[in-house]
Amino acid sequence: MSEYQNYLTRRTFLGRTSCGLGAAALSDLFTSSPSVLAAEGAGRTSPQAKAKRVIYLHMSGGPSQLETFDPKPGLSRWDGKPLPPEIIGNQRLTTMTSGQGSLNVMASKHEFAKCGQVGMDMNTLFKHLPEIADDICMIRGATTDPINHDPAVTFLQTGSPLSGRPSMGSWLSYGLGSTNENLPAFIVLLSGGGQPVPSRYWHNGFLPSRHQGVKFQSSGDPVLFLSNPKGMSDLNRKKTIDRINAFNQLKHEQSGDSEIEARIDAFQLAYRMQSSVPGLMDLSQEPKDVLESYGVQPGKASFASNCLLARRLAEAGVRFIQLYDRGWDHHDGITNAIRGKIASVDRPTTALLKDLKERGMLEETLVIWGGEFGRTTYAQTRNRNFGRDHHPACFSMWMAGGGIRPGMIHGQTDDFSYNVTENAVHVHDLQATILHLLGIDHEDLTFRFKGRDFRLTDVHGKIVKEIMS
Amino acid sequence: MSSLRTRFVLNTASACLILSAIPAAGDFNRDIQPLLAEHCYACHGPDSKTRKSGLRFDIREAATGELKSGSRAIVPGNLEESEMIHRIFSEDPDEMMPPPEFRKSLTKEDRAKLRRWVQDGAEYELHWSFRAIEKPKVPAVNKEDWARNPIDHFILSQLERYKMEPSPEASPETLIRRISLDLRGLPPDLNELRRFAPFLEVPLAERANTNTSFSPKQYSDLVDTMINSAHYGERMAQDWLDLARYGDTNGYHNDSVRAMWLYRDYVIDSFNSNKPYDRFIVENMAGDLLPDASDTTRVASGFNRCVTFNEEGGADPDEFYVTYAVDRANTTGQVFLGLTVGCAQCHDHKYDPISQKEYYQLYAFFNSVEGEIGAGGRSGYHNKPLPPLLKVRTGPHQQKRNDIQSLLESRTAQLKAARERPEFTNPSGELAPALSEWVTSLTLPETEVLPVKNGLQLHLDAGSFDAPGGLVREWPDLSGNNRNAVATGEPKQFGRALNGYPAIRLDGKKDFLRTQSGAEHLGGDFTMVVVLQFNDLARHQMALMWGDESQGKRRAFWKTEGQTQHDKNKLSFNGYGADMIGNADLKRAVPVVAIITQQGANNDTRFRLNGKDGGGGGVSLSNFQNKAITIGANNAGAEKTAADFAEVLVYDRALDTNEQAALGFYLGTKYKIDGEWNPAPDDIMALAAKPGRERSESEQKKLFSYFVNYVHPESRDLFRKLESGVASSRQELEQVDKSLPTTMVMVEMKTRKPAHVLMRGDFRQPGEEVEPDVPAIFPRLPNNQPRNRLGLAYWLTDPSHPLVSRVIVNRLWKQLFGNGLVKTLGDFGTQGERPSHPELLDWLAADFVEHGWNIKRLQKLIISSSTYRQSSTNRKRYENQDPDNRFLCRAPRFRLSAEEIRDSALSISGLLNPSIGGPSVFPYQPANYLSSIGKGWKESEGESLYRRGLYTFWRRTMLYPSFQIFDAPSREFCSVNRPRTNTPLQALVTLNDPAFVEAARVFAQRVLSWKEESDYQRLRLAFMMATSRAPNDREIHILTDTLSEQREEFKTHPERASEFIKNGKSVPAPDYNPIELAAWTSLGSILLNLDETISRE
Repeated sequence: MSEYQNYLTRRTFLGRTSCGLGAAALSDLFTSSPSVLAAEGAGRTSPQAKAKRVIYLHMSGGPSQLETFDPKPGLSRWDGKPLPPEIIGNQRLTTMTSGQGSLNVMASKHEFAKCGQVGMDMNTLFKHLPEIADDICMIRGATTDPINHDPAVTFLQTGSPLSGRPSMGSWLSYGLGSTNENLPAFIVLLSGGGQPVPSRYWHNGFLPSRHQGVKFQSSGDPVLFLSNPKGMSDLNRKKTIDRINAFNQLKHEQSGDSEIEARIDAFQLAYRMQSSVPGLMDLSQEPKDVLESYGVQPGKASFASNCLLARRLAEAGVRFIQLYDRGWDHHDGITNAIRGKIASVDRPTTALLKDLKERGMLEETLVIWGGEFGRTTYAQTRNRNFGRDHHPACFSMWMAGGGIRPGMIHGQTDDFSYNVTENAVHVHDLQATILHLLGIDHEDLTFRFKGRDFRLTDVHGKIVKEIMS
Repeated sequence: MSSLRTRFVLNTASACLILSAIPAAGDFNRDIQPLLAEHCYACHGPDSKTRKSGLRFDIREAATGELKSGSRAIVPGNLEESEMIHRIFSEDPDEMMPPPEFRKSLTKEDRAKLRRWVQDGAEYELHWSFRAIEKPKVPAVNKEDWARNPIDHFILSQLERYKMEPSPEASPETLIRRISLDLRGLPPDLNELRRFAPFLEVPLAERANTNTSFSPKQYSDLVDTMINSAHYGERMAQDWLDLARYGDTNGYHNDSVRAMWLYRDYVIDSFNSNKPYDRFIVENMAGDLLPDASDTTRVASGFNRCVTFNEEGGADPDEFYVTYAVDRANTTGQVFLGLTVGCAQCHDHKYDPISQKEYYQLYAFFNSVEGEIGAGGRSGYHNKPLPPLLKVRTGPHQQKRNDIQSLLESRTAQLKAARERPEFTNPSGELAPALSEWVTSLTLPETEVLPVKNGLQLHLDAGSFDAPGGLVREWPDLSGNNRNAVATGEPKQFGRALNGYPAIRLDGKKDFLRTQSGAEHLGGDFTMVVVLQFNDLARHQMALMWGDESQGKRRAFWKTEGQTQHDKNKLSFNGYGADMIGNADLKRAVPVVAIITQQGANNDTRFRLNGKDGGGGGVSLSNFQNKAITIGANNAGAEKTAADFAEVLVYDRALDTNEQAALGFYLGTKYKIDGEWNPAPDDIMALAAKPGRERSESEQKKLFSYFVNYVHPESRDLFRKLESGVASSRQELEQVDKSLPTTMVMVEMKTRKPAHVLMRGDFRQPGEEVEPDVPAIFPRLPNNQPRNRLGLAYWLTDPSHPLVSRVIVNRLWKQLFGNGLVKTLGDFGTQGERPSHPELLDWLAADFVEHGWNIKRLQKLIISSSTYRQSSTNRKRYENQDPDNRFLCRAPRFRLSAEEIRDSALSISGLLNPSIGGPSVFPYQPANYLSSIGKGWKESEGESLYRRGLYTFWRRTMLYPSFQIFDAPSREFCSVNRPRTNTPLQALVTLNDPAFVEAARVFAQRVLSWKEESDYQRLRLAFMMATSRAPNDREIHILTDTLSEQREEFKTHPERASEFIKNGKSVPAPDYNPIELAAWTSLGSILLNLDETISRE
């Protein structure tokens, strides 16, 4: 910092001698000041809040409940036989299988074990997850409306299958604000290859755009345009920002426009982000045993490194950390494909939960694992290498921490895992419950747009009290 | 939790408080209706499904009528008997209204208002925006001399009512910048500043003695200059494209590219030509259905095709046909009616008088698009065009096509004339002797001697010599040119190798032969002939070649080994698979006679295998000089042939068919190879065999026709030349037509698709069938027009329509004042905000329609007002009274749009490429930005990197990053109003995005190019270019300091200087010292980052 101190002593205060704010703001660069990111919520949580933040692990593509957490051993008798029409009912099918002719049951080829004291069913391919079976709450009867990926993820994130509504993280940023003035309240991390993950999924919709999720890039600058251009040193960047703000301060005095003050703040925060984000993203600072427990390979972007980043961001006070792991859309070859996916999430997810627990953070961090829908009991016969099609009517998700009752199985599906028979949790219920755990009544958190008070849960949603501790 | 709720309400409602604080008695629309809508309509409103107790408050008859219980909610003038009054004042949770669980309780003031209203007789009025527009009288004002036009009267009269003073006029340089940004989206350039504000050259200190105000003529010239600029259309289009949800991709899932930019260009042109807005609406809504429909109006109909498209595999087309029609109905509501009709998709509108049935009547105008694809279906629908499409001959295309067309016509005429020449049509004319000579020659030739010797360059015959011990060292040339081929490896002569005849066997491993010279004579035309049999067909095998393959200049005949079964074992000429000739498969150990000819400027190549035509083509070969001819290998000596060679002949001209036939027949006979050796088709041969006098006239004609077409060199060559001219023109024409840009347009089905009310908006639950119609609250559709989009368009543009003109003038007002007179630009319904100046809004709307929906005229009128010309400086004394400046006692100050911020930087630096229209471009974007949707970004090159933001490729699922950060909408759906936020991510863009860093450097170069100027003057001018005004002393001081600080920085770190000036694709000008350039670049960057540079004030 000596170059910086040197600069401070010899710099002239030209252009800001008369401006209190500019000078004060300068000294604020490395300390905290009211953040423009936290304008609406100002970092508050309701006293009733059980959770302070969310880490949402979204398995993009729709993991099969039949290959993960909802085994149906009785299906082997049905293997290759048509799924009874009374089970299908009047549910819609995608056009990928609606013209397939026969909808024959495919029993899972995997083995399952009862895990933890609660006896939670898990595919034995999960080698680590059983260790935390008693920490999580398995929701067997999750259900949603859309049947295609794009509308289904949009629905899960925003409460509507059509684009244009704010996503969950944006609602929380709007309602609760940020607790770290150097970071956005809502951050998105991405791993794997597969279904496209468009920016709509973390869009602010009609909410002010500062509530938009900021996607941290896995290569290049973690935040867009975070690095200075070639030849612009950190210190010189600071000097130039000071100059910009000196001019802006003069303009503010002349015009009286309060937006200019916000802009001065924004430039200072930009500089603080330049200083703080690269360190936050630098996993090499973590001890070797931590890296190993997550399965992080240094320098390699992966779901594992994103899980570790999620913990670091959670520690740093980020409100909503959304991970997308792609590649769960198994229309063919599901029996083999699921091995790779389970292997890639098993260790990091387990490590994340244990890590949060050890640090005493799990109680106030709501962790959610799941996809946008489930998969069909019947086989999709594309490429003769059987897979499963999209199935919105029932799927498995789990939640942990942040006010969730640990070691619990909630909900029940029929013998085919095709319909929910007990305690269905609709996506709107899930959203209402998440908001509730963060201390927000989902019917209260509204925004007036186009003459209507909009909310995340539209006009639906009931809180699932049974899964709360 | 209640505190949380209160806060949200305050956030959105603070502006309303100001307006509702305006005291005046008994205005139903302003005071009562919003209360009923907010607190009562949800259960007692237009929606019949959720209506409780059969009571509704939106209609007076119902609200005052007798209820089932026998009581009446409202008894006008009678508070005691009005159940409503009883209920709203009740504190009993079972009785009180609204019920506690509704969470929207009435305030004390609200209750008092309702009480007074009932007491006064509970009079209803039609919601203000549904009422017909009557042009209001222009109000009188005290301060007459302030007002320049009627607009000022409306504004001033309200200000005077609240004892507020308008602001003084903004400085001329501020106005120049304001008008330039408002109308062109670009700041004024230095020349414009100097032209309209010459006093800027005068130092501020001496300014007091200079006349700095505009004369009316000067001001009018200024406005005209800006409004008539071609950049005006671009600025106007930017807002319209948000409404039209224009994008360059499909917007769902894979987000494939679509071609839609012709619509964007149509919008720009329309605004530039000041198309009357009513006509613009008709073209957008129904350009395809107009009686005088043209390409232009059809392109315009693309407005309704800008909807997104779901290409995802498995998506149900039926679901999305509905989605698109719904989007069209909603967009029509938003853009033209300023109504949220979409609320009635699932149920009757809760607040506005639009029933669900009426919604689907509106929807019914939009669900019958001929050829529209609903969704991806089973396997998805990626990267394919979405019909209906229109190919459009744009100006440049049409010109090019005309040129080719006329060339084609003249070439066709020439060919026709040539064919009709008397000597080529009359069998007994001057060619009669030649014909008869040829007919005679058609009797097959002698087989003992080589029949064609003219042009023979090389002739190798395996039977012409004896190799001692079989080992061939040299293969003697019989052509008389002494080009004996020298052997490499150990080729052997076998006496009975090929059908029992002598041949030279090459082993395919090391053997080949090469002449000492030979190719220098083989320029354009040639013939190569080989008699051989392959002994192995495993690989590429070069039989005969000359030229230089390392430069792609070779003439060669070889066996291919293609990728597919089809390509295997074929013969090729001059290339790998691409120049493959014919369909005949080679077989091992089967002898062949292969003849290849090439002829003429078009390199017409013909191939003949065992006499049978094997096709041909035009293989372009440039000049080359290579002296050797290689037999059995390429000229590098690789790719050797495992074959028996019996005979090789090379001619320096193309043999004609007759000669080829003769030669083929000679060789075929010599080696007993079966083939089609006839020199002409069988029917011609048969005619030739007939004695002349036995031929009928038509037979003679047929024979002659064949002769002139294929045999007689003069006519044959002439026809070929002319034919190939015609063919190439045709090809070019096809090419041009293929490259015509297409755009998505509307085409109406012949028979309209039935439309149904969809229960809960679900496409699987169709209810009652409905006809296209408009909601009952409005005037009826015109009788004399079809009941389709065209009729709807005429309905919208009827001068008496209460909403359309109000909505557009409000948007035009917003463009110039940052806010609409109605702040909720897309909601003129009962939940929308009431206008701040209702009479002004109506006056503007009426005036606009009276003057032919003339947009430029209206804008000029507004810009000429004193209201517009006010300074934007915030005055503390009015801050509490009017925090949002709704009374307009000053001009607004606001941040520029995403595109304008980019355009300004480019324009100030001089980097901007000002060309208008054309396909979208791909400026700098961080690498891998699109990886989460699996897409790349093929960056544009050169000047295309510096187009206006409007032309940036609009990828809807991942918008261009700096635009997204500066609040541009994704345009997946209609957006009526962009937010304007202020975030650190924006600071990072203008500081670090290469587009801005490069602009700063080019800006610096521009400043440094004023060689004769002092630093002081350069700083002054640079500041002026960025902010359109001269810096004051304090600012000059900071500028000077900054410059020396930056010089110091880069002098201390020269390596940083040379790096810093290399940001961006353009090359830094070499004329400047890198340290100096870097320091000025830094200064330029600071100027481009100023709040003032990215604001309009």
